[in-house]
Amino acid sequence: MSSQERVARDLLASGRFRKARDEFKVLCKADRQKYLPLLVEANIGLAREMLGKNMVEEARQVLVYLKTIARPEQLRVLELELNVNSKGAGSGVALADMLELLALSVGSELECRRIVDQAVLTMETVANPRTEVASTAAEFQMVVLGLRAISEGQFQKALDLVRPLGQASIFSHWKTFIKGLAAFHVGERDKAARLLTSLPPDSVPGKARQPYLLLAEAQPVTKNSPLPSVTVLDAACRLTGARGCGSALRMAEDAWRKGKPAEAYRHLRKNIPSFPSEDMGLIGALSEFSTQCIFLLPVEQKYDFLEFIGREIDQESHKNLVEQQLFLRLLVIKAASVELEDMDIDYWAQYLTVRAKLYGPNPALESMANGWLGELLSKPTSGFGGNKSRLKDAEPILLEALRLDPMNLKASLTLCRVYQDLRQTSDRNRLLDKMTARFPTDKSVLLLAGKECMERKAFKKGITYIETALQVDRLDPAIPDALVEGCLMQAREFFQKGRDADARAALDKTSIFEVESTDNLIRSRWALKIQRGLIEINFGDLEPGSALVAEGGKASPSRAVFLYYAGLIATVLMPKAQNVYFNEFAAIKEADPAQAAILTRLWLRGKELDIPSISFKSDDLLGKYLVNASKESFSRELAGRLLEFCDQQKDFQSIGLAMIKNWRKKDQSNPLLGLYELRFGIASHVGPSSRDVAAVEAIIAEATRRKDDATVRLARQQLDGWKNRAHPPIDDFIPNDSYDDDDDGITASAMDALLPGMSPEKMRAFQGILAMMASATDETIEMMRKTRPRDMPSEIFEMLVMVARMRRASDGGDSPFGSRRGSKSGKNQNQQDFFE
Amino acid sequence: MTNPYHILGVAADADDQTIRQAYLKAVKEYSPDSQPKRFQILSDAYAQIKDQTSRHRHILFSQECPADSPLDALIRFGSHCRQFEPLPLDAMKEFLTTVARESGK
Repeated sequence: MSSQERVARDLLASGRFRKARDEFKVLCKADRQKYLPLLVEANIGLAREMLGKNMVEEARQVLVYLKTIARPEQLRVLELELNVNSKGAGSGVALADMLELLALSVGSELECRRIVDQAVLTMETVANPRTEVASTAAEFQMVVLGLRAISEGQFQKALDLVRPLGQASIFSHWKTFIKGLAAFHVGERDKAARLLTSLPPDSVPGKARQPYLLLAEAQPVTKNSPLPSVTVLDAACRLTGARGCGSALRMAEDAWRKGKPAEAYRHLRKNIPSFPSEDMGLIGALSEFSTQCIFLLPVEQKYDFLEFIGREIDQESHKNLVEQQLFLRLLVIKAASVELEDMDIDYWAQYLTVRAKLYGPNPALESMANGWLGELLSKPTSGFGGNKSRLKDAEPILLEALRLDPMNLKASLTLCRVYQDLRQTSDRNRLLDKMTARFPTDKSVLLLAGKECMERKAFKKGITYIETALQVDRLDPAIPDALVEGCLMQAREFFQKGRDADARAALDKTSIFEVESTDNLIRSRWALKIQRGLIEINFGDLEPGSALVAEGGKASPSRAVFLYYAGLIATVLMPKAQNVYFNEFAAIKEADPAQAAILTRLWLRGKELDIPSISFKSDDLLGKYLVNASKESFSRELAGRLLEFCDQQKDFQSIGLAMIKNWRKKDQSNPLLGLYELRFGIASHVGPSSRDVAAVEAIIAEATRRKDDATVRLARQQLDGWKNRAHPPIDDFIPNDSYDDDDDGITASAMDALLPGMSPEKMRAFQGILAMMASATDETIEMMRKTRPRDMPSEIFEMLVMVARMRRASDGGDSPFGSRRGSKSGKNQNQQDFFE
Repeated sequence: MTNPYHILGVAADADDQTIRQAYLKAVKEYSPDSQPKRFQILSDAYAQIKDQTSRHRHILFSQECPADSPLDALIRFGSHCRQFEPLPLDAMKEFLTTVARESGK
């Protein structure tokens, strides 16, 4: 074989027909007999390629040439294809020819299938076929009528029509297609998928199955799978009842895959007239996806998209009311996940107005919306000095919510809390009275009303409310807890009024709710005896009271727990009296790790009582005990629980660090300790540095090595938490050693990076604030936090706090209790030394 | 999570009773034993719109995205369609002809 022949054959085999034809033309001149069939083959291939590209005229010219070199029967198939393509489907002449060809079984299986497909595409019926093509024509007829039946929704009829077609029939793939379509339309999607996937992929039905397979979820679609063609998408959309969406959907999908969600949205918006919509059809589904996708976008894309939405709303260039409504809702919901601003509140009001325009007024929905907004505003903000003014803003919004729907329980409860925080007691009481009338069987309302009555010493009414709540739900432990508390408070009141018998009756009433478990800090036998005993001691008779306290002490889990608990209760009952229990607790030399967890629960109970005189003393005592206990042998589980406690109580993070220091002496590279040390060391508002991320990764590695799955999980959660923040981990803009060298605790370059473009005067003023914060006590910082200007971002303020703390720590002026302890003198000096 | 109204096949303004009936009908078809996954989807959808308060909460605060991409939105929408409209004959013919032509390219 010559090299030229090899090249020509390779070109033919690889489907490069034009070049192959040119090569064979040259070769034919040398040996016509040998190369003519190959020249014909190349020309036929070329003509088919042209037909595929819809270049019918060019294909016809090739055919004209072919007629000069090939036998007519060699060109029958091509001629037929050309006829179908040039005259279009429905050419009776072409159809008859095709049937004849099929009847003669001319050509390969592939060619036969091609002719069958071309014939079926005519969708014609054959009247009076010639005898020799009768059986082929009958089979053809079955397929065409079957397809028609599918189009008319007569699926069973379609199946009946194609049933006689055998597996050997040249129309068998059309039979499979029709069966697949029938199964698809009657909801048998698995069967449809099975039938359609069995079709030969190079056949027309094999290509036409795609929209059906897409909707039958038979082909998994991933980001990397090829984009379906516009035709396929158009057909799929059409099947769901939406027309003309294929092109827009394809462009949108393409943009989405490129990470451009706003562009994807714009394609759909521009090319689908009814988009966006809230209808129940495909356009509604696409609209829902296109807006809700914001909740799953990565940070950068999310903010791009939000910017686009914000611009559209601000420029009032929304396409229709539905779009305006969807956008406004998104802006508020997204903003609420960070921090609501005044503008967002306006957006929410606009949203409700637009929604009312679209769907008519809906007081219950508007009430819920206002209730939500009121609740958001009533929540403590991260360091805003304007929290009280926010509460004030929440009040009218919540009142509006209740005006729209008086039965909005959630808004009622929130307003109740707002009144409490604003100390508008009479408003709160009036509201609670209304609530008990509106929700007479709601235990949360009854409980709240009961507790509120206790606060204003209306014990009888309060106890009645709580007893009603108990009738509603006998299993909720919070109800007997509240009842016992009420009875104890009532007893104290009776003692103070000299009604000793009533007081003891109230105390006796509590014993009904006594529980055996030592865990219940209100109703367990030991706790109840201590409480009753201390009330007797302080307001009734010393002797029976002391006996009860002694009994309670014996029944308590430990001496330390007894002393701490009795100390707390004594402080509540007689805040100014000498607290012998706390004094004895402070003198405990050997702290028991096993009691530490119970004490933390007691501390939390003390917090619930919300009496300022309790907290400072009890914080100090507990902190001391915990650090002392951490010198003893500890289980990992208990250490984890205590660190978790410290993690949740901001004031205890320095205690946590001191405990970690003790534990690390025994296990220097413990991953759990390392993780908490890192957490306590990073101000939550400022965010981690890349170094912190690396440290957590090292912790994960160590924990994995130790098979400490719990720590691995915690560390991963930590990393995920950082990743999901609005701002991802940043490189250290404050070098670790910067506060050693720089007087202001922050480098000039870091300051520049932080506050670009600040004028020198403002920078000096800012530096002054920074210096002041560096020497400020915790109380001062707290006060500054509360009175911070509203336009100062909370992140900046919290970062300054962090800098101030680092500065103080580097100066050696910090203690685990911060500055609350005051000067390093007297009794406190010992405690401070101990902790340091 | 796809739109609960789509999943249960009810209109956006359907009342409690209609939604409950649609749910009960659907769970008969997809029982927890035979199709636990589908049953879970139905139950979640029902929980989201079973009463007025839930429906209002869904309208105002839902943060569920019904799909992973626009194409996935089409597919998931299709997966909850009770029935598809067959292509009319002219549309079917046009579709098949276009597919045949495109496949030749």
